[in-house]
Amino acid sequence: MIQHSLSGADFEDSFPDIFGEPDGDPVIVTRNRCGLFLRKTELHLPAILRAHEDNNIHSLGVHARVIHECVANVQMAGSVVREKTPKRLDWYMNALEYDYQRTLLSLEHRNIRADEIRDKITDLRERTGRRDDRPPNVVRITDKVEMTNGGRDWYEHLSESFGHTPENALTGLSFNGGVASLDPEVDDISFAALLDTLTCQIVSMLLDHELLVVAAGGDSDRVLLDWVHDFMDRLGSAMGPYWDQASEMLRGRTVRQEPTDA
Amino acid sequence: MLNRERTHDEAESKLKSGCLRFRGRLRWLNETHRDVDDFVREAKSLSGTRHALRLRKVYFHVRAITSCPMGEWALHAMAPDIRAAAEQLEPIVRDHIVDGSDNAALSKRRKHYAWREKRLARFSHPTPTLLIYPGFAGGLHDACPVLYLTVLHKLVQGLTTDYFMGLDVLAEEAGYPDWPEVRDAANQFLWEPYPLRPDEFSRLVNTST
Repeated sequence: MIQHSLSGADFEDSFPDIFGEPDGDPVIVTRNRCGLFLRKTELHLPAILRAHEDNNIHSLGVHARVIHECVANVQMAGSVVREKTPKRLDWYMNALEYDYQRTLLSLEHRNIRADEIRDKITDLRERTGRRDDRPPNVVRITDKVEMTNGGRDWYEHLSESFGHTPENALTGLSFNGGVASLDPEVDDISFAALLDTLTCQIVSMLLDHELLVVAAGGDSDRVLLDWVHDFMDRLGSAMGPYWDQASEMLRGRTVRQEPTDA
Repeated sequence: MLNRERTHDEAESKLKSGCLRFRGRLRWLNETHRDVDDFVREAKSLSGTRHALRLRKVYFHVRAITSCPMGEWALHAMAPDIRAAAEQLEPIVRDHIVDGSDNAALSKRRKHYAWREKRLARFSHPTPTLLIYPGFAGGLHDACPVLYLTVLHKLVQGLTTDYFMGLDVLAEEAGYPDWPEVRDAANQFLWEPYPLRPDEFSRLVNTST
């Protein structure tokens, strides 16, 4: 389904620009920008499946953490469409600006000075009608994952148990990163918890990607929506109010745009 | 034009072979680790030591790395496991080198660790700006294959060396009787040089389109 959602992205001719090309098709720009995270998720999924087949919870944990961050990035953008509040939009724009500043300082410090980056951010703000030359506020990964399925607690669990396992956790349960022996433990409940959370996160990412495409003026994707609705029906109310809200928004949109034959 | 393409293809082929060789060596060390760990578990006093536990964690990540295909996006698929394994190995190797009082070796390893951590963190923490960068920097943009494979080669070789050193410490502590043979075999390949000459590397990267 990720492949399916990626089909509208263009990674060749108009490789995504973080703030989008001013003259670019907003639907393609949105698809590209979110598509980056879908593509990154897609690259880690085979490792997740191999880890599952091999009962390797430790490998599964580190890849699940990366995917959790991908989901968080798409959901940050999705939350702007879902919440429709100036406060959320400001928060999201600040997060983008902070990421832009931090990444350029880390990767381009030989080519560009900090004040030049600051000027670029101010310039970009002016292009969207905002006059503000203050530096962006710090946005931590734990802030970004707050709105995902599992949220900050789940992210911290993945970090502490699998990403940066401290010595004292190595004697504990495998779900907490412990390694009693070299024989892979067939621990169905731990795998189920990890895979279940991960699946819900990926589905919510696809749904938010769809919301963003529709908000940018694109058409609803019938195949994806049917698949997600089927997924949600099977999981029922356990998915929480977010699902109801998102599916309702897309359902309404779908009915308006593509009346069903039935 | 054809000559240039051939030179690039040859360099890529050399680097790919180097990566595959080191992946094979990691697999061999992973299998050897099982024997060492069995021995350690029998000598119960060592079974729960910090080195044995840290190395068990490494075992699972190396197992994942060695089952990963060396395809176009291998760095993305391997990086989280390399990072987690490296984090467990680093204190063991550092103690080991400090014990040996080899300041030059320690300084070299420290530099490698700093480079590695910075590089690998980018693959584990994707952000919108970062993903626009080339593959060797943690992004999804097409990368110069020589640079991409050089990063992969350096990471896989570094991990192989650290894994061997970590096992060396454990096997020595436990008095594992077959270790001298393993060490001799490993010494044949651990210090294999990077497959391209520095001038060759610079020329290829500068002429990359």
